[in-house]
Amino acid sequence: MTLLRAPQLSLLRDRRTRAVIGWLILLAFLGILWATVDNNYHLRLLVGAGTAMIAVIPFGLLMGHMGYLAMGQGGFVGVGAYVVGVLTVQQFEFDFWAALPCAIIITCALAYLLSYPLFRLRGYHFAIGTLAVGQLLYIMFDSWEWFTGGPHGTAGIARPALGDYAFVTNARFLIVVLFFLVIAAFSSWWLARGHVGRALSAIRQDEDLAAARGLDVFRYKQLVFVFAAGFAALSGALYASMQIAIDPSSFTIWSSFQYVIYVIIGGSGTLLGPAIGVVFLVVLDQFIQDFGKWNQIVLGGLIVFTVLFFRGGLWGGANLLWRFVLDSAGIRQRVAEALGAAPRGQ
Amino acid sequence: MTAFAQQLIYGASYGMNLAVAAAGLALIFGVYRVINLAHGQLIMLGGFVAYVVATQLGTHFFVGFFAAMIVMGLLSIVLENAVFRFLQRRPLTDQLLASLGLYMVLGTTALRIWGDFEARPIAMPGEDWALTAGDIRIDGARLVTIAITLVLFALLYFVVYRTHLGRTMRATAQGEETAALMGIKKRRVAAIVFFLGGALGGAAGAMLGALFNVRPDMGFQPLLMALVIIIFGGMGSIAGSIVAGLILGILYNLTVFYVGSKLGDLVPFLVLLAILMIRPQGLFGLPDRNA
Amino acid sequence: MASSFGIIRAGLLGAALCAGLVAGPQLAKAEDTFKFGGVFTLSGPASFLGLFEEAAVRLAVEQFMKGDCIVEAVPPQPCEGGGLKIGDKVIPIEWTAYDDVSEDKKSIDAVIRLVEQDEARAIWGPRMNSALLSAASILDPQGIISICAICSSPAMTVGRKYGHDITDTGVIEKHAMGEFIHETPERLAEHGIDPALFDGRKKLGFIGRNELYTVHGSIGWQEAVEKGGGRYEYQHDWAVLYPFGTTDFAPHVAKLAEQDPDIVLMDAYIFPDMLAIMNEMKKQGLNYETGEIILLGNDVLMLQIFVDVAKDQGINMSSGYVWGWQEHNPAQDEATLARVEKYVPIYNAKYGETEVGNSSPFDRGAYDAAIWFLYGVQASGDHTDNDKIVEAWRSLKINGLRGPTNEFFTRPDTGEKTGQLFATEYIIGVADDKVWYTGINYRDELFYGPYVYGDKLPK
Repeated sequence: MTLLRAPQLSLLRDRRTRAVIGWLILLAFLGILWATVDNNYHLRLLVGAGTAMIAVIPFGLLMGHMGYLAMGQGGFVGVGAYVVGVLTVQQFEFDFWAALPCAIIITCALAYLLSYPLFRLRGYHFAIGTLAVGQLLYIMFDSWEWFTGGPHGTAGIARPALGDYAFVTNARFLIVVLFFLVIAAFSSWWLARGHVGRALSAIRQDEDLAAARGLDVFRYKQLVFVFAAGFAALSGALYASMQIAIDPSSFTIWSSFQYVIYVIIGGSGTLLGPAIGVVFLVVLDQFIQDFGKWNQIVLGGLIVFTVLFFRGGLWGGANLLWRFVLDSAGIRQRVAEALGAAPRGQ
Repeated sequence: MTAFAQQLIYGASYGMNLAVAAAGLALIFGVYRVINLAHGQLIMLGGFVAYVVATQLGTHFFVGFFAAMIVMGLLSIVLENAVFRFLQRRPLTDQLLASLGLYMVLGTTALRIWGDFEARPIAMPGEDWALTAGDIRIDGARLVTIAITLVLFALLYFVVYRTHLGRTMRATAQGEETAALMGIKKRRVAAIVFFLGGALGGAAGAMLGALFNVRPDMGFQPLLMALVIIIFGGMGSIAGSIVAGLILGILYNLTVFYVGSKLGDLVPFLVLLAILMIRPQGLFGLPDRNA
Repeated sequence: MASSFGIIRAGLLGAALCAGLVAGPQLAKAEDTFKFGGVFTLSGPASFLGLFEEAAVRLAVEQFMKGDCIVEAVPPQPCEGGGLKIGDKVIPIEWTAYDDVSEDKKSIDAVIRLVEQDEARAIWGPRMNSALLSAASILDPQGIISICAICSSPAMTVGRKYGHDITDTGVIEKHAMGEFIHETPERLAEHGIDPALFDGRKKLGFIGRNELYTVHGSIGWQEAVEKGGGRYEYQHDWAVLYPFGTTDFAPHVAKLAEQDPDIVLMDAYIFPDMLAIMNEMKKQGLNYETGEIILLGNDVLMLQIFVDVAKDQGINMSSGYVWGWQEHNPAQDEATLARVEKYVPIYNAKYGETEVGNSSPFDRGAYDAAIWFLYGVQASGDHTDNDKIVEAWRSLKINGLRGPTNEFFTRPDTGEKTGQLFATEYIIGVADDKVWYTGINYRDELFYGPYVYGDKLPK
């Protein structure tokens, strides 16, 4: 008996279908949480996760699709946070909605300028170059007291409002975060699917070859770098508003590593992977608190474990599981019978 | 002028310590093509081993120093066998992330064992004298660490360029498959390289610990500087490490003194960016095929 | 075989997913308890300030539950075990603590988790700098009490209704040192100190790690100089603030030496930092052993154990040029001594062999504060009303491990009790490798300026 006919099956095995299904599951998961969660703490976790995803999904394009490891992303998040912090509190008392575009434009301009020197570098050199940028930005946050408040930080950052409707509670703020998350995810998807996506994968596979074939490699790299920095700034702005007070300790090199961890654990080279990474680590964080003082050992061990055993991160692992389920249900044989040919792949 | 000369000397002494920290990282990267962030914790653990052996067991500094080298060398081999051997052909990101996980595990473990807040001195030769010329001085202990550094680098140079072992290492660095075809045992080279790298990390930790006390957070700053140094000097270049270490140490000290105490990292990182722009392969490196 | 490896990996993922689903959040019990939570820095770079704090508060809660409190409230409060005695009921204390991993975002996450999920009515911490400010804006509007015994930060209390700082602050401490350097020769002589100690000294220096605590410290140091009316010179931007992770202090001390100060205030509190700075100072002409400078330190510098450690490393602090303060009364009365003698063996037996280490004045402060608070909750007669708790607690005093009758500071302008401990600073010196109490102490004269009390913390 044939459970499914062949065309449907090949649809099930298709990479894009899996991505769509994955996204639907993730969105459904978030939607259910949003609809059912009235615990303010869980809402806060959702806000935090959403804020992180806004930076991480576009960052995944840079790291996964293009294969450039940037270790200073926390610096760009910090610039976004501080511009909003400073404009809304310290000197100017701007509205959040006025400060937000300023934060994004300033960060994008900075990334645009930095892209010229940084993209003379590749591989490990690029990683350390961006690390240097991240560290320089951190030093700026820490010591340019007139602008950032130095170790005092900047406190009293407002949450946004639309007319009389202020997004003050976590439940309301989550609407703002989800709105921007959709923009971040959709624009990343839009970039990744068209000629930009093809260019990025050409760059990842063999940059010199791509350049030799007449691809303006630098423009694409610059585009993605500035794109990721802009969303990092947006994420930083929302983070500042969520946290109310910021200080330099939130934008150290460790915070930059955090974004790398999200992408790799979730699965690089896909848009969904980094988002899964964020959800996984935020959820995991709640459980490892039970290990008390030992929690960082557990987390470190889990990172090593995941890197060693799940090549494509958790999303890669989930895909594997998917294939395994299809195979062990004997579906593959049936496809083969239906198609009258040997199964592809493994 | 005196102040400037004094800062040059202090910076050079600090830079030599950083150079040892970086040399281990550079060696492993040069031959094995893996960046090991956990190296920072090997430096820290090296300090603790030296402290336990030299101070708590009451032996001499050099006993603790060699113990740190050997224990960290062995730990490094363990890490290679347990983790890094599976990551050799994996992307840079995977290597960095796995080693970051190890960094967290090792760092927190040390914190849980030894705690913090305490002073953990290691007595070392040269602590009670100093050379002075006018107002400029250099402490005996710093001179001793500089001497140790020079000896370590001489030995390393000898091993890499003048022995059969070094030839096999360099052959592996140039092309693993070719080296394997020529009968070089890959696993053996890996073990030796990781042992040497770990031992250099342990040596750096023992020296830093003896000069400035042993503490659980002592691995981070040297790691950060070492990551910069191996780029600065050219990946995998031994001479590059020592020159870059010196330059960075001096720049750091001059910045603190003339620009601001909070801004020590500013100029080294700016110079790093500038150098990368002009010579992406570093001061001593050849253009890297894979970079 | 490649496919069998795939199966293993798929199996592992499945197992991980199942484990995640099974280990769901546990439902809270519905019985009437007093829920008390804590956010501590147990790992990461700032953990040395969290471990003993968590240990002491946990011990305090355990002892309160056992009815074994070592310190007493004034007026007396019962400590009979089983929990808080409210009316004729006994309300158990439910204690929950989280690790913030030295990250301020996690700190705030933990605060919200305690408030929302664990329904804590009072929170110990957080201690991370920026987390303090964020936490204030979350906790105060909800009327959640927050307590810290090692924050030493004005951000705990200034402009806050429910914040409590059960120690001094970086500012108050520096005010004490300011009073000391302005003492008359007669008063110095009266207390056995060289009356010419401060003669001819004019320029002040300051060195510490770059963080909120030292920034406030340097500001307090400047305020003290201004209060003295021009006898000394110091400006906040002279402060030498070295970054986190510094190991080699040579260039930082050189920068300090370049200013050629006569008196240096060292605002560091980590042994390795302090030892390295003091070693370097001696080498670079800032010698406190020969009196080229006077070195002023803090309560960590004036720990006997630090003096011993320094001596082992060739640092002589007994020159008469090294001074500091302590916050617990060094000339302890017999009752206090008896309490300390009862407490220390218990603490050491529990934590001495762990990474927390043996008891010091700091964990004693945290223990005092925790028991004091629990007495305060009892005294309020209603553990569900935080306004009543705050009022009752602040009018209660405590005979603690740090000394008798500790109380809260009353604002002179409005007459209301603040959440700031009315801390006494006892001036300490070192002679013959032993710390000694000079008999000079300050309290009322230290509580001035916008960083000590006011309606809002200055930026």
